[in-house]
Amino acid sequence: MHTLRKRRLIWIMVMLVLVGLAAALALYALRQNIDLFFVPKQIVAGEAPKNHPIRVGGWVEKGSVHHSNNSLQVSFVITDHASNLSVIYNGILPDLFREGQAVVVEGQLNPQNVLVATQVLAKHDENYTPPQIK
Amino acid sequence: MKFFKHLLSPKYSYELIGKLMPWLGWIAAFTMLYGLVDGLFIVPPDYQQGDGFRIIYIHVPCAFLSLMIYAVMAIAALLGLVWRIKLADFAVIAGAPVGAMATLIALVTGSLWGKPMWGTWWVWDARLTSELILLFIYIAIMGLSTGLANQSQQSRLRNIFVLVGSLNLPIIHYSVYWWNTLHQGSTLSVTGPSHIALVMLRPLLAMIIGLGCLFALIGLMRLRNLILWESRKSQWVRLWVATNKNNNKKEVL
Amino acid sequence: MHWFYMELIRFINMGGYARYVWPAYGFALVILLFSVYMPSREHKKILRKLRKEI
Repeated sequence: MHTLRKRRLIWIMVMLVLVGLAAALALYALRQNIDLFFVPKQIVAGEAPKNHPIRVGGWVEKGSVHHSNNSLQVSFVITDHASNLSVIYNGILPDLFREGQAVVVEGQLNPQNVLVATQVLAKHDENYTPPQIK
Repeated sequence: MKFFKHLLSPKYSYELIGKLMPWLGWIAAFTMLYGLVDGLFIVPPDYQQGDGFRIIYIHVPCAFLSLMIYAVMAIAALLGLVWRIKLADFAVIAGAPVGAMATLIALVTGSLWGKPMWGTWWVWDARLTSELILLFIYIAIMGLSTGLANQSQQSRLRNIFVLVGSLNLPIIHYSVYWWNTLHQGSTLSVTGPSHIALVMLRPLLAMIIGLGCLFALIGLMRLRNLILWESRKSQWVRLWVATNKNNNKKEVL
Repeated sequence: MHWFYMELIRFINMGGYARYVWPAYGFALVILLFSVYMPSREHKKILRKLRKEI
């Protein structure tokens, strides 16, 4: 390769590595802000801020969903298979909400360490298949 | 080397693009026709999402191609910077609006998919945010393509910007693994098995190929225009225009 | 022909997701048509300009 071109190529590579390194460090430092949600284990360990809206992600514990008879209120427990967190919610649930489903819940912890949710989002996996195969 | 010089000459590349265009158009039309009929009508609904999952046949190809188009532009930017190939500079300029459109379709269709399934149009998780940043990068590259003063210096600046922006590609791809997100992991995998039933996979691959050809066609049409306009003073364009002066009907595209 | 109309209605309904599926494809169609139309119009414009000059 021509020396001039080689020099240009090396210069570009060095620049990209340096910028990449800076970006990686910045993303590493900000990793907790980039994470969308806490998991119940972190809540139990007291890592999440109190009196501040947070998101918690986990699976809806089987048999824990209780619908109110006369309102939209629903209560359930989310788990990360290490810790559990109780949630109460008053609103419309997404189509994919069901027991065993992964969800992301936004809300605020009350003094009893129950999450009072303002929004419940369903998180689905990357698998797609016709019903009869499942 | 001589062969490459010939390939890179404006006249030859202009003619080559003209010959490629109908092929790309027909392949895109047929594969997309199959993909849409199979994907929207024939394939059974998903066990979890029912018929709502059919948005996959436009969302995933556009999201995938939004990254592929950028990868091609980054290679062109490198060729432009190191070898000072003018055609590569043009390819970067031609590619940016195409990539922006693919990204825009991916974002909008993803939003329309997120509302019924997740329960929200938008969430600031790492995958969605990094894809939105990709759209802004494409728009910035388009902005860096409009000036007229000092073309070679502007091309250098644009190419460096494209290469720095390419650092966003691995972030988009791995965002769903590096951080916790609402967006699920990748369904398609080149190295391992894909997480989708074969009947559902076939139209998806057809749509990726079809939309890939369509985006390539659009990019090449833009590249051809740039070549023609930048060579407007040269002999071959004068000759070409003069000989084609009277048969306007041939200029369909 | 009855089954055909049943199938057609089922297809248009998209299992209740019609108001998400069809706008997604409609939006993509509009963007793609626009993306093909713009450079083809530009090409004609350049040729017209060059023809005038020669």
